[in-house]
Amino acid sequence: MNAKVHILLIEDEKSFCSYITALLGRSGYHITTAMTGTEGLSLAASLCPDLILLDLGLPDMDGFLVLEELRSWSHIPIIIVSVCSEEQEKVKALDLGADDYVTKPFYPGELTARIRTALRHSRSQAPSQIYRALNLEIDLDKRTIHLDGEQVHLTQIEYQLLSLLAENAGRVLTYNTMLRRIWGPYAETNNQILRVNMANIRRKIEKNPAQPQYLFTEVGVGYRMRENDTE
Amino acid sequence: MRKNQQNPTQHTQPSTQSGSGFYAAFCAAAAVAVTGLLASRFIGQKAEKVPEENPLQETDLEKIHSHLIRAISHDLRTPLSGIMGNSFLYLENHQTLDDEEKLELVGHIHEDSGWLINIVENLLAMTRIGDTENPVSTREEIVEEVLGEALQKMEMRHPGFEIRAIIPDEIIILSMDALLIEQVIINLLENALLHSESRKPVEVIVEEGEDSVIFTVRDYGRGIPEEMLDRLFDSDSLTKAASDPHKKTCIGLIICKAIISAHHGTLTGRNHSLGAEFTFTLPKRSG
Repeated sequence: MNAKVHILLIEDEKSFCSYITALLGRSGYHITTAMTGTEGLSLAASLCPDLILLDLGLPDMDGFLVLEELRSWSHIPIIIVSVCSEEQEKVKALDLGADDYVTKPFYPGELTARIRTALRHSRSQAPSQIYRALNLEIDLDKRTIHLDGEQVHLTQIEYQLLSLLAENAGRVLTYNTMLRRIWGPYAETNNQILRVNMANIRRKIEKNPAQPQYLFTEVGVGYRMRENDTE
Repeated sequence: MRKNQQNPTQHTQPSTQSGSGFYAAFCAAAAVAVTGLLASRFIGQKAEKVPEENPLQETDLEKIHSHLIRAISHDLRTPLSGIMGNSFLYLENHQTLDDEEKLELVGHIHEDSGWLINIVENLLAMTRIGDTENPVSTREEIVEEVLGEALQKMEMRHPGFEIRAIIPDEIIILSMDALLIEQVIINLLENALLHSESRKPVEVIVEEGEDSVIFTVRDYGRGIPEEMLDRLFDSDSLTKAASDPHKKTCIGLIICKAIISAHHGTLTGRNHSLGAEFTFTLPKRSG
């Protein structure tokens, strides 16, 4: 079996394809490109790649449709690569099951980091029981949090939110996802309570809530927690 | 006097050349945006309560408009011709160029594309501003989240540029268009980065007033030149800037002004004893 991680790039812009092929090739990935949605769907089924990079603006079909189609039969991690930076587009893609969303133009390191994160989450069957980054450590078994060696006390809801983000460290979780996971399927659609809780958590674990080191905001979309160093 | 030799490897301060190029490009963005905004404000309908002090006559507007279009074409051409030229040189001469020369060419291409990205982002931001009746669609936001995201973007674009955020302990919730306010914060910070001629950390301070929240971007550099102080947000200077691309005006600030006005806030700039500071306010409850 070929050890190289295989990535399928569904994208119609030639120069962007060659850029991605060169960029990811240097990181040791093997890239196959599909220039249309139809070709992408058939290659996804026949090649079973480890990860898919999907551009939403394809010549033959709506990118969201490709995403839905892929998600109807597959859990392959999908990262959206799009020129559109509108919040609604991001939320829609993430809620439809995309693992991540990167806006063009991006910094090369940004894409490779997101790819690593998505691959890691898709591979690990049992999520890591310890979250550790910089001076923060969360033991998800014992439900304890230490910052600079000192125990941090959170409310029940705050702990649930933080551990949800820690289990998904490195990925953005939308407001909807978080509301549903913590408050249940009939949660209010108003995300104010979620955001106030997040602000409270920031006050307990961040030195400066306006320059966070652990909990990053994607305004209008959701939250992302710093990568877990133990993974 | 500035001393920034301490850390020559970590150079983020653009060269004068790229600085003015960036500036020119930025002007273009501002120009397009401001024309659009002025047009929607002053032509589309008879605005009953115009926030600006001197409503423009249509003839003035037409004049500005034509100047602006010329300026935009000029200013977009600058980075584009850089990219075209440098990549052409590379392609034609790659066999004879040494590594250092190659790096230089590619470095210029990289810088030029940075300006273009900045133009586009400002343009996109401005498309979010509507007409006088409905200038912006606001949503309740937590101030530190908006500021935090703006600072993260700055960190990504200008690593090593030190910024200190000072915010109150209380959570402040405020109605705004978060992307636009982020753009204002970014523009003000980039303005400080380009014009303060100092590497001292820039501060962003948030304070809660009675009816509004006050944001201040304070640098510790050379300050705002005396002759510009009273026309920082004067859109007349656009005309001059358009006809003379070397002349420095503050078009980036005019964009900020437009965004803040659309939020019914205020924006002012002044010198303090050790540099320049820009302050904008956003009302706590509009209406």
